[in-house]
Amino acid sequence: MATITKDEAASLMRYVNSHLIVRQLQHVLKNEGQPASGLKAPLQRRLITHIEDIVKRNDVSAFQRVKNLVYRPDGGQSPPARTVPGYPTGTNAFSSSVPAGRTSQAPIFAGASTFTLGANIPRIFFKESPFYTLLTTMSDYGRCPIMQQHRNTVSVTVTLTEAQVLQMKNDKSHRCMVYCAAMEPVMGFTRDTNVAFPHQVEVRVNDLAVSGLNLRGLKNKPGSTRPADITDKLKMVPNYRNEISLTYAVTQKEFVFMVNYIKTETVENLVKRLYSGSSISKEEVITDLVRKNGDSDLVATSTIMSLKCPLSTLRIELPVRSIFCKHVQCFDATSFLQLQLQAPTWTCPTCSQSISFKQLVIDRYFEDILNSTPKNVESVTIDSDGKWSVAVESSNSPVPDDSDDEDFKSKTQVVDLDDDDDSTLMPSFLTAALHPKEDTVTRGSNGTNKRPASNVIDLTLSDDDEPPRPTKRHNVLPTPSSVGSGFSPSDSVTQNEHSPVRAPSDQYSNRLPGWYD
Amino acid sequence: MSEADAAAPPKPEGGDTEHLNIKVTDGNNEVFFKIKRTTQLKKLMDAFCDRQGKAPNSVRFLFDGTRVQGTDSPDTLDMQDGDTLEVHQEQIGGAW
Repeated sequence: MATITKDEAASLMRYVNSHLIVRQLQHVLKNEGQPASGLKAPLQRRLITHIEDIVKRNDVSAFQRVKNLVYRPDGGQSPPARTVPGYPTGTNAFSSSVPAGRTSQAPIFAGASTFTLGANIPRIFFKESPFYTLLTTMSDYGRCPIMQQHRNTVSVTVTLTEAQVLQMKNDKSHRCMVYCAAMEPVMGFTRDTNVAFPHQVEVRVNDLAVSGLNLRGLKNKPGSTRPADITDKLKMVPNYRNEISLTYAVTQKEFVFMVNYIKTETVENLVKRLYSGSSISKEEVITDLVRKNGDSDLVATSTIMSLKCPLSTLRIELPVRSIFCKHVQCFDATSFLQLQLQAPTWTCPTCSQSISFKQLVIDRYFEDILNSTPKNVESVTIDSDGKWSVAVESSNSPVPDDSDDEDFKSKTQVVDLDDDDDSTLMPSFLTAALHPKEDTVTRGSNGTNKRPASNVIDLTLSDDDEPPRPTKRHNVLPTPSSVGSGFSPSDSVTQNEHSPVRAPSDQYSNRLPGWYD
Repeated sequence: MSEADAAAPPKPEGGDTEHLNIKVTDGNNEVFFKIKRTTQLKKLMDAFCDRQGKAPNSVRFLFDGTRVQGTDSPDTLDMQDGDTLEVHQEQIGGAW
């Protein structure tokens, strides 16, 4: 009979050391009647010794048997990695009897059975978002089976067409995004499926982790997760097979993910769309207010309404609310949409009712109030008949009102000061150095001459007037843009203050404005 | 009780002994209501919630630090013209 060549033995041992994982080693050893316990290195050593033994004994049939075991560790499930040429046919009978005794192993790589099942998943319709318009689905469904203890990786491939590559390079609003959803065992997918990723998850594109993604959303708020933008990590080459993999662990539900080709919409454009969209007329709001006060038992004589957005606490620019909202309080369209872009909860900040983009309308009544009051008015009083007036600061109103103009400044003067601040910086800057002293002087004199109560009032008044300016000036001073905007008489001063900041950071000079913005 | 009731009418803003003005505030917005002394405060609470877009069971109303029940009326709580009702967020919590 044939003998065992040295080459064969060597290649077999090499294969044992480089390709077999612990379970396969154990499997081979067990079938060879060897102890199968221990770490990987001892297992390998033991198997190598065993093979060497066989070679020494020149036991061709045993060698053939081991070889079969080593090359086909899964009990013949996977096709034999190597056929063994030039072997006597007589050994076939022997080798075929070996696999028969084996129990078939569970698949070792769970990832091997990925999107072959895609056919029986119904089409998933994700909840519509005004920010994203789905153009096409670019990948198969990647099914992530439940992994209660271990981690698992599921991959899909994305191949870009030439047109898509061109489009994405030229137009940043076209993106590739990973959408993921949890499979509901009973209901299947509804039309408004929420984006949801496994709790522990990592997205990789061509083996590079995509960082900076928030795939969890807000706690206990399903649907507050955004799809994962992977555009920047994709290789922008037509027909290149980009591999998108999702590594996850410890899941209680099955997840399905895919890559979609998306056209994104900016907040600015959406706000513009709202501008030209529908609105609630002034009369409508007023009749509603009057109707609510129809009961003589209970009349709301006046309501203080804030002109600040409940989300951003800045003055509202475009007042919107849902057509279903019963309250008059509005919120700012830009702030709201920016927030929805980050965490799409789509609930009204005032009444927490869920709203969609299509339900947002402009409140003309609120808009009218905003347009006819100065910028510093933060709240108005609405009377029972819908008339409104600028709110007078009430004793325990938490919002300090700028409009207490009775004894110090008239409203228009305050506005003038603001204008001063914006247009010409020079005069206020020159006086800035003097003001802190003045301030302490007045404070001291007030403290000695007047009652404590009036002292408090004086402080707020002076706060409104002078002290903010020095602090403002200091903030503005180091920015190169403000320096450039016309400081010619005081240039020497600014240079002195400025040089230590600027000199060491010349290489960052383009970042400076951003820091102080 | 009866003494305070007797004291209330001669208030300067009086003239209208049947109604009184109550301020309801949640720290952000304020609503002034004119309410009949005998009207149940449930009506006022619902009206406030409706205007502010709050769910009635998500807030509690406090008058002088004690919780106001829907069946109370200004008379039973001995409220006076210009009194304030505070609105606070209803919270669930344990003591441990």
